Amino acid sequence: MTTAPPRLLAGAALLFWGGLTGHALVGLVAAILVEARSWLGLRWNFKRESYIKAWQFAILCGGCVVILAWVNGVKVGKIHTLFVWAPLILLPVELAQRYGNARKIPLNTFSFFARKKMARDIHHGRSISPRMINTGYAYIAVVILATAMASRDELHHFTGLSLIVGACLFFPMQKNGLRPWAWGSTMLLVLTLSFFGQWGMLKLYYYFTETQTGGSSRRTSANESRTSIGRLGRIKLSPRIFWRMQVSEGNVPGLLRTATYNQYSRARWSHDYAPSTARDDYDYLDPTNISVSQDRTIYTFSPEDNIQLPETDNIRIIGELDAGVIENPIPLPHFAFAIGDLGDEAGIECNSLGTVRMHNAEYNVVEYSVWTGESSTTEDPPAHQFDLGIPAQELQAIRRICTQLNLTRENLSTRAKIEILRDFFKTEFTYTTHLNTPNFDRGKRQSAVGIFLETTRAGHCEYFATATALLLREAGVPARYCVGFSVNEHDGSRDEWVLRGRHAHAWCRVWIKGHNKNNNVIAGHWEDVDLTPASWQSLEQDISSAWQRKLTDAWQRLREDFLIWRTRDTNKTKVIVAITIIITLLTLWITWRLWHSRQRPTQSKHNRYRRPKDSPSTALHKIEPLVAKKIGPRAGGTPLCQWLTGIIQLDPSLKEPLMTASRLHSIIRFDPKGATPEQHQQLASITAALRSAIKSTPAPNKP
Amino acid sequence: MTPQETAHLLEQSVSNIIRGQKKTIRNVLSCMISGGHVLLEDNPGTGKTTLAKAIAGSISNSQFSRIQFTPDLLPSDILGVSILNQKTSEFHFHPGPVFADILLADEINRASPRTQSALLESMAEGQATIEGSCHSLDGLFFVIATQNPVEFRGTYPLPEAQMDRFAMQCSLGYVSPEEESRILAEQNNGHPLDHLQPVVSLENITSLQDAVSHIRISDELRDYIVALSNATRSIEEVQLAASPRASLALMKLSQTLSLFEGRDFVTPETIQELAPDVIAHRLVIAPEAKFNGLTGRSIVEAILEKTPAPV
Repeated sequence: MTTAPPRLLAGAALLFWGGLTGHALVGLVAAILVEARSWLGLRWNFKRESYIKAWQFAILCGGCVVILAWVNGVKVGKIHTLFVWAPLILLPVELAQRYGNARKIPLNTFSFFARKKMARDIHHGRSISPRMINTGYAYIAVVILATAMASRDELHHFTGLSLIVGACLFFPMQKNGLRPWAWGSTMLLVLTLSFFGQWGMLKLYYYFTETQTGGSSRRTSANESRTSIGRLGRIKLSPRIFWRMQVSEGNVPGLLRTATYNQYSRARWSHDYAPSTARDDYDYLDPTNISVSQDRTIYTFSPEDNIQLPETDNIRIIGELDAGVIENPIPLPHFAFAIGDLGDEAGIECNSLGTVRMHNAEYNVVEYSVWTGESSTTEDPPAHQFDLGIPAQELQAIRRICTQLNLTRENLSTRAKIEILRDFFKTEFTYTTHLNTPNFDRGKRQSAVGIFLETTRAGHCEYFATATALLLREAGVPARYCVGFSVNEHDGSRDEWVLRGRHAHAWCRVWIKGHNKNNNVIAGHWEDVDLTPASWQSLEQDISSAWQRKLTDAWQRLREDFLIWRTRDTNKTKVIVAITIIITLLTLWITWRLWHSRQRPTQSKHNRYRRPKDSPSTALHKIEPLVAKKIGPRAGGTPLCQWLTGIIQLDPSLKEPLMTASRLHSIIRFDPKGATPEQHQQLASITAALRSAIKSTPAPNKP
Repeated sequence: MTPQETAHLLEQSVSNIIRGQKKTIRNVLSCMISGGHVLLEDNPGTGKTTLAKAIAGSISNSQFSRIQFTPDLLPSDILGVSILNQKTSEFHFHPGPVFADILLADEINRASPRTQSALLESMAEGQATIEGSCHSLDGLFFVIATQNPVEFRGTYPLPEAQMDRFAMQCSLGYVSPEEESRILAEQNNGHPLDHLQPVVSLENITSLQDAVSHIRISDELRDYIVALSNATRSIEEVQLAASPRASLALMKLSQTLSLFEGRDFVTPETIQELAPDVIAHRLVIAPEAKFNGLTGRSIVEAILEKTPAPV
């Protein structure tokens, strides 16, 4: 930690970082700043306080990066990805060290407590000598680690890493006498460790990313919803605001649907579709877009060509997408007709069940407008193989209940069946989020709905929605399961509806057949059916204190509103201009301060000895390379004449002429009075004789 | 008698008494001629006192004083004291041992700092202020102080300011077995000091000192001396580095040693030979570095290796 790395190594590492992380220009600028020290004479006599300021500035930069990342929607779980900026965050400290006269930083700069102790020591007059370190190699290590955080190009990363690590090992070893075998073995060991380390890290990375996208967590995706059916204990729902809805005109929708599913199996609802339809390989429907004005684009979902332009939007929804899900389903009210104002790059698509997914959103916090119409244009009519299916594990229990309720009798309308079920659930079931019955165990999750219907008769909305869907299916009514939010909390001060985690809800979409005057079936539509007892809303209480919730809500709203404000084109320019002005002023201020405190290097000419140009070169100087071949190179601190005596050990007969030559050389070089031409001539002739004698001297045998 | 002859005679005379210490004798004599003072740090019985006596005995009419430093020694014991003459009712100044040409301050670190510092003014300025009146130390005034590097009980380490007053610190060390055997043979019939005859006079020494100022030194070598001193100032383990007084002493001693070597100009080899003895004792090393075995001498040797020497 005390030696500085060789020239260009830190610069090369920064270029490597810039190249592999996609910040080539930033890397180049940083590399130039770091390496320019070697070519510029600019130095600063930084005091201890200056290094502390540089460190505090680095911490400030780190804090700014974290805040910016948080504002941009990076979650706490992804905070490690910010390490990619560590080379830039620590750049002030590295530059202070490189451009400071000391070339080293007191170790206690990095510790608040050590600095306090030192201040106390100074106050009490104790002598202090903080340990000085050169952070050059540590900085290179940080750059390499930061590159590893962001790099996905394994071959280039491994090659660059090997070169930099090789150089880091080579130069210090060369200083202490390079042993090629030792260097080679160390390199081999380091490369092997690097290779397996990288391989392991990649495996770990893929494991995490795959399990995340695979849906092991209970995130809502368009394709699958893992319910809590069969889980024991209390279901805890977050009081955090997920979405906010502003209704400008018309009725307030009671439910906002996020995703719909049609297949149930073992406590998991999923989405399936018939591939014979037009949506072959992937169940999606592209929207048809209509530009209402230059800066407003509205999307509608309809297979038909003639779409009526929607009237003014009546609902605006603001919320945060889940960064862990690539295509986020977004909540929409029943009979959503069109969606607009999504942002420049965001796209949407819809599946055959009416789940609308947003992708490629510029930021995680989004705002969109919704137009509601008279009917939904996004849901396909029922497909019987999916919308009437009941899993085998639940079939017996479902049939028993259906028989008990007489749901399968003829001439019973769908609405009548729903009413029977509503009455059944209302009178004989209780709502609870706390399941702890002796009849439940983990192995019985596959028949959990049957147990719910026949034994426990208590559960939360997922039980009610699943049971409703399966019972209706058994009764011949196509039904689907959907998840979303119940709209029941109104914030009067802001005139908006708040959808929290504890408002998350599950219910059914039921196909209601249409009839004409002759009572013939002509068509139908999907309708929301929610048979969960109404008491559930009052039971979902916020357990956190009011002021804490208000504070959290206010902060979240502030952040989301700022982000939404920032994403608008006119405001984007304002933000960029403001940030540019702040950075420019800060840079100018720092540059001005630095320029006025610069100093010449403390290394005076006395420390950098070079033979004066006007000092004469003697004939003895010219035999130095020849003698070096015999006795090895001369160390910088050894005087020439003293070093030349080493040749006497190889050939003692050279002692006499060498002594004479040395005496003459000293006169010519160091006597201010100067030497006579005869002495010059004499030295030349003695040196010529010495040269031929040394040439014939055998080199010493190497041990 | 030419200065070179004087130097040679003096060196030869002392070498006849102190065997096997040719280099140290030459350095100590150079120190005397250059007007500096020397601190001999060595084990008991290695010839420190004999060396001082041999130098004094080789110079005719030179006054030699010896002070054995003890904890109860007072400054007046060194400098002198004025005593009231009851007959004349006047104070008469009785000069102390400091008024001598060659002063041997034996085991200087055994006296209290107050007494040690009584020598400061004399060593730096060649005068002694006693009871308000200033007395000039005429003549040679060369201090040879000794201290024992092994025994530290009951000692007072010399303060940094006093260490800086010594132009050089060196040690005699043990002689080779052959030389030791020769010493035994020579002292079988009495100590050689008993038969020592002066070979040079104080006037010869004065002319030798004049001759030193004519020894030439190039600008390049002056820069080299400054570079060596300057290098001690950028070493973090050194709490107190070499002063300009150290550079000055190194230059003067290099000139004197060159004269003893028979040259009338200075070479880098001479500077390198003297640098550890002149600079090392002035450095104050950080305690943790000292604990790790770092010494002033090793620091100077490292500096000599790293600092490019004029070639």
